[in-house]
Amino acid sequence: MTKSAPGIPGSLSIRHLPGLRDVPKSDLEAILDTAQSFREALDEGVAVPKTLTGVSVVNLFFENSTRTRLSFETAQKRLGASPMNFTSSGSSAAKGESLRDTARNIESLGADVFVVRHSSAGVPAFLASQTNTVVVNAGDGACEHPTQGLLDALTMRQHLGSLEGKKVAIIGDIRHSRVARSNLWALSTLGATVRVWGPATLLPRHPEAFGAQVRVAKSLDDALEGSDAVMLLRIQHERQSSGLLPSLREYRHSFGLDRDRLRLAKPGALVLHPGPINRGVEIVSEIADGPQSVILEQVTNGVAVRMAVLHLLAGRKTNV
Amino acid sequence: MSEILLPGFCDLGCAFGEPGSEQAETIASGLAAATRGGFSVVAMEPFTEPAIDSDAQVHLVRHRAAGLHCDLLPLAAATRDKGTLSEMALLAQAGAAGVSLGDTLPRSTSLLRSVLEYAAQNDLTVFVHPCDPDLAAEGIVHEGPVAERLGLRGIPSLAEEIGLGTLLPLVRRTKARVHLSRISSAVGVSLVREAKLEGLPVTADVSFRHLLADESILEGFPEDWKVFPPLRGATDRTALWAGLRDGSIDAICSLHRPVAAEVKSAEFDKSPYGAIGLETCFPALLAASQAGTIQKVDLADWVKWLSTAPRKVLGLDACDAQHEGTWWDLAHKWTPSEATLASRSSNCPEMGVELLGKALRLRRRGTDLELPALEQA
Repeated sequence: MTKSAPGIPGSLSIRHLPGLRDVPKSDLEAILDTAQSFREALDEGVAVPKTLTGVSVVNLFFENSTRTRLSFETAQKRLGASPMNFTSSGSSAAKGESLRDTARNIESLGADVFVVRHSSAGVPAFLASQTNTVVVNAGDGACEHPTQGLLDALTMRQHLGSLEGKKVAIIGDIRHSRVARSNLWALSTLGATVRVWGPATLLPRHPEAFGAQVRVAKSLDDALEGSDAVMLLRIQHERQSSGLLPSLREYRHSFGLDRDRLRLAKPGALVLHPGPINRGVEIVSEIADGPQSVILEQVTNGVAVRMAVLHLLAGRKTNV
Repeated sequence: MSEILLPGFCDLGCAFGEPGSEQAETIASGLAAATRGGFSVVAMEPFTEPAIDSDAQVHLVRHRAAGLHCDLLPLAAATRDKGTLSEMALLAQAGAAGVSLGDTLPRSTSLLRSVLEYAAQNDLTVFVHPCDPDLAAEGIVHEGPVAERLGLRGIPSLAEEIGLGTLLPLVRRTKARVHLSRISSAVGVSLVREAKLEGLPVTADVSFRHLLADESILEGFPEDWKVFPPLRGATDRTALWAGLRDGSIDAICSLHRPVAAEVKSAEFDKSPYGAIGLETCFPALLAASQAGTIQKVDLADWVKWLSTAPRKVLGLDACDAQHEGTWWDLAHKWTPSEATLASRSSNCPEMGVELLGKALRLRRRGTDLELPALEQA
């Protein structure tokens, strides 16, 4: 089935996507508009332009990932790229080669785009300064996960319309979450206000760093009350062993989202989660699988967002 | 060109790579860098590989420095393998200018107490940055808004506060002479001020980079600005200046920490701490003073903070410029590059930045000498 290709907005003012913090609103909207077009095309089975044909995309994953890597690969293939995958285990990096040398060697093989995930904050910015390739961040330490932030924004926008003036609650481990950071930047730029809440040991110590549109709530009820969307973050089990959480039982008791608590949000408020879910800890299954949950839509939107980012940053415009 | 002869500066905070990391800095290249920065004496930290924790190592370091145009006073490690007291009597006899605990306090408070007791008996000053090791563990930058935005683990000012809270009662009890290296926080300055008012035998220094910059410069992950202690907030920087002006902080140090390029140029959290600073310390301060990014400082104050006060910490007499000094052109603008620096390392935040004030010649034991050629460094 062939229909017309989705409308492709103009190019972005940014060359790389290390994070969402410095991305202007016009670029965010261009990415989201393009992603929306791709999403509709995918839903309708419309062929999308193969603007990555001949573009060499290398997925540099120095940290384990399943869903993000598969999502990026799917996006790349749908745009006509033949992605190459690099994982650090068994690679030259495991033999002691520096990150800079690894990246420059792969660049010399003809890479045009690096999609990079790394446990160290700042690696995408570092690679952008050390190579001539386009760099897209697929998660760097606790710093940012920009495509996750974008897919969350897209999902909210699909249901809520403009995010201007909307209230979003983010519950969980804010301090160590790159997903939370990217969401805080994107939602603020798009005009939403954000309330964060979680155990004191996992909240930002300097919330003023995120600007006036982000505030630490006074309680879970305060965070949830009147929210248009509620985002739960995955609680990592190692927070218990590192002394930041007493137990998952206590977390569920104090911070887990159930039906009663969800009633504090606006009727029909969206429930988001970046996954993977700890069912029965940060969210009960009834909510995760319920009518307000858009968790699986987030996953689908992830492909569209990654297509949009790659297309806008590296697509061959002559093919469009 | 107006030439001026200033007394030789004295640095209380430099480290070289020799022995162990000569690719980063030898004693000869480090002292050549010191000379170009106007320093005629430097106290060298002992944390080399192997560490300078024996009289033989002290003799070796002094032998390597002999005959060069800058005096090197070795600090020896206060403990061996971070677990037992070093042989302080023998170290003092060999020429150690003091003993150092380095960048953090020992995890064992009883060991710290023993170090102070034994150093006092041997009339040795204990040099230490008063940082609680547990609170600083795994931190990378100052725990403040920048760390929050970048998702980097923070080292709180609280680590310095708790460190001083541990150290100062032990100083009070043992009467040990302690030099508090690289004070970095507002609360640190106020605690040092109170300790001095009480009459405790403490002195303190601050690195010139903590006077020039704060955490905001770390946006964008510039690894050359990754130093320890971390650059703190704007209010901390203001307090450091206030401490320097009221005498709570005695001296300015270079915090010269050479790191080989292949090690330094890495992802931010794996890049080691450290920046070279001996050659750019005074010219960077002068440039900032002229540019108005710091308050105007009289030349006499620079001399006090860079020469008189640090020499006093080391038990040296004040320097007579006619005997030991550097001829400067204080109006000369220059831009550091690998070709213009004597250090073997290039982890220099001022690289490519215009500085003010160039060393022209040395005065060494009353005789004027040309600066050694760079290729000899």
